[in-house]
Amino acid sequence: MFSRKTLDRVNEMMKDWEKEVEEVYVKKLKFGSPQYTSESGIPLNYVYSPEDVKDIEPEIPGAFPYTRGNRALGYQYMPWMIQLLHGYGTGEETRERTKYLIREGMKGYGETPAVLFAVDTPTHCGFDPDSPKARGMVGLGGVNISTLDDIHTLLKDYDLPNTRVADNIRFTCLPFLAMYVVYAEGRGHRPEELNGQSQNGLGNRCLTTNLPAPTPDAQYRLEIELIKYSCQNIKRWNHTNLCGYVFGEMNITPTQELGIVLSKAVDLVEGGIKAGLKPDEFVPRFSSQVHLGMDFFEEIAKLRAWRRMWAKIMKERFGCNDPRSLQYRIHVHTAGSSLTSQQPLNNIARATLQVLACVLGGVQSMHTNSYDEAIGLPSEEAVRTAIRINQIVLHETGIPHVTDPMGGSYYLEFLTNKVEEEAEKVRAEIESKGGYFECIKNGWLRQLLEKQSIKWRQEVDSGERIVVGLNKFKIEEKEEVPAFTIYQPEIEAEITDRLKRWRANRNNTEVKDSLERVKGAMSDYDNVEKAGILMPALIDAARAKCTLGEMMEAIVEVSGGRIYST
Amino acid sequence: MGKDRRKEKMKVLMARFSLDGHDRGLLSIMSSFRDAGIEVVYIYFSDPKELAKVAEEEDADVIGLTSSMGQHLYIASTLLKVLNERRINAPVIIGGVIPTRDVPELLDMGIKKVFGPGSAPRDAVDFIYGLSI
Repeated sequence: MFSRKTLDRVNEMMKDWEKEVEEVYVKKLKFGSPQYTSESGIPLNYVYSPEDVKDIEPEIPGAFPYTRGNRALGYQYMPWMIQLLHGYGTGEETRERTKYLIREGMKGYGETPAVLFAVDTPTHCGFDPDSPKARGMVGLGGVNISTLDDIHTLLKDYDLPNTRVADNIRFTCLPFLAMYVVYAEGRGHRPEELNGQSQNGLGNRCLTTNLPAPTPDAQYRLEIELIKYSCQNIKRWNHTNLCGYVFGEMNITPTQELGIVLSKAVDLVEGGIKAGLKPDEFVPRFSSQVHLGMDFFEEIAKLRAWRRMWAKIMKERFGCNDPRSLQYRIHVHTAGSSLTSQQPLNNIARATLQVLACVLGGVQSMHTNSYDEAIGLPSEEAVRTAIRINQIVLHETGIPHVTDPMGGSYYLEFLTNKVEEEAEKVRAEIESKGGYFECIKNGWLRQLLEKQSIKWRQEVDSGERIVVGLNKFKIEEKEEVPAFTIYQPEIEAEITDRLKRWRANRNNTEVKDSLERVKGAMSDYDNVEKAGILMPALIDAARAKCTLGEMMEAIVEVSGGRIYST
Repeated sequence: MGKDRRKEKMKVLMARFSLDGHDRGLLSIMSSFRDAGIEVVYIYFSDPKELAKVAEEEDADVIGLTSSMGQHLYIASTLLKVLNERRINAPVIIGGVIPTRDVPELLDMGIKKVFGPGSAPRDAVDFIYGLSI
């Protein structure tokens, strides 16, 4: 990047700088010279110079390895998507919240409405609302879905081919997708017209939440099944959300997050190949949910390194040629774990810094946390403010006018290289231990997550890590921001009652027969090479009006897993 | 009430409702308990009766619940009812994301102490040692 002459001059200048620090600050002013490190433990200098980035290759946005952005133009051509994960209670309540968010500015690309909805835990795990296992949890933290009617309640106002439907579902992604396909069919749409995404991240959800789930081997097969089905039938469907967010919420570091997610991607691409797909057929449809914490520059570096590492792996390891396979599209979820319930308005400042880091890192889409999310579900005012942060950065600051504005910063280019190097170590370590899914099975990843979250707490308790309002700058707290809550028992009764009517109004022989066929297909599907045989059975079951819980129960009866208690 | 534990190790039964996946706080608290010499048994449960049964079998001195999704009133009230029926006297404490306004109701129904957001693991350790004196 620089001539030898320039570098020699820089080095001379740096000697002067070092001399001044040593003589004035250290000797005279008794400066203690603390050693700062990034969140991932990368040691930092007090200043960077061309010497630190002399070996980097010049890059432009829109060209391999895409460090500076996937496309030639960034936000000048297309602002980021403002998508807020939302949902609670019944479909009606969630639908009203969706409408409110869209009115205030939530949207996909262009004017496409985005419905990014959260479901409650019974839906995540596949317990129908009338199951004893679901007692007390129906409608909490997300909307409850068990029937085609529930999907209709949620989506009846939208033109499905022109709506981005993204379900944030943990283990029941396949039964839900089968139901969505059948629901759309009822409205006259073929699968290939649909647009949206599945989470398809059974493994990481099981790791980070310890909820009742199928066995790790079955999780892997179910994920590959969804990839194969959607790749062959719903071309525009983002089949798999490579979610690093949930790891970040367990206080994994930015480089660990990147390394873990890439190791997962490698396992899934290999699985897709075994299932008979060519990488260029399905790699372009991976989506993401990246965690964005408080280490401002390291997070920007992570976003840039993420694109570069992805492009290299897909090109060099898997031989992808389609540029879309090499362009990693990033959706960020700002760190819920960075929020405090103390002095909750401080969270607006945190979210603003995180949104800024995202924009400087060139993401495609963002969920911005509301300031009251450490207290409960967000209120309307709080979600509106979260949207406004995006709109202020977009329209008032001028920041999005220039692509990759940090590109060429000595510090940030150095940090991008370092993050890449450290994340690659994590990825290689997981691969050496048998890969991502193997490290779920052998407990290695779970142990790492537990260690990290305990470490964070110890650092906060000792004061080594400062969290404003939590362990420093505390005030006498009054609960000024009220918790947004729903009247759960009433909602649970209403939803259970609806399900009862649904069950009374279907052909039980068809239900039973189709569930037997799901079990048969799951039992035959003992290897990813056979992927593609389960989804047709699930679609038939959804046509026979089977519930989400019944389909999941049929899968788990065969796969095993799903521990309720220990 | 509880036995004289002055010379014995305190035993806490930590319980997570199996459909609430938030266990980060719980991991930290359990680690602090163990560091403080408190014995910890950790279970998930979906029915309070399962939890009561384990509390009996393990002869727990304290039962610690966690709730971060808004189910605290439901699990606390159903559990206390079962414990009452079975005459299990171990005090029940609860932690997690619990709105301040629900604290009086939890204490009224018989929860001994609520550790909401901002509580440090040390607070729970001190509380448990306070019981043994």
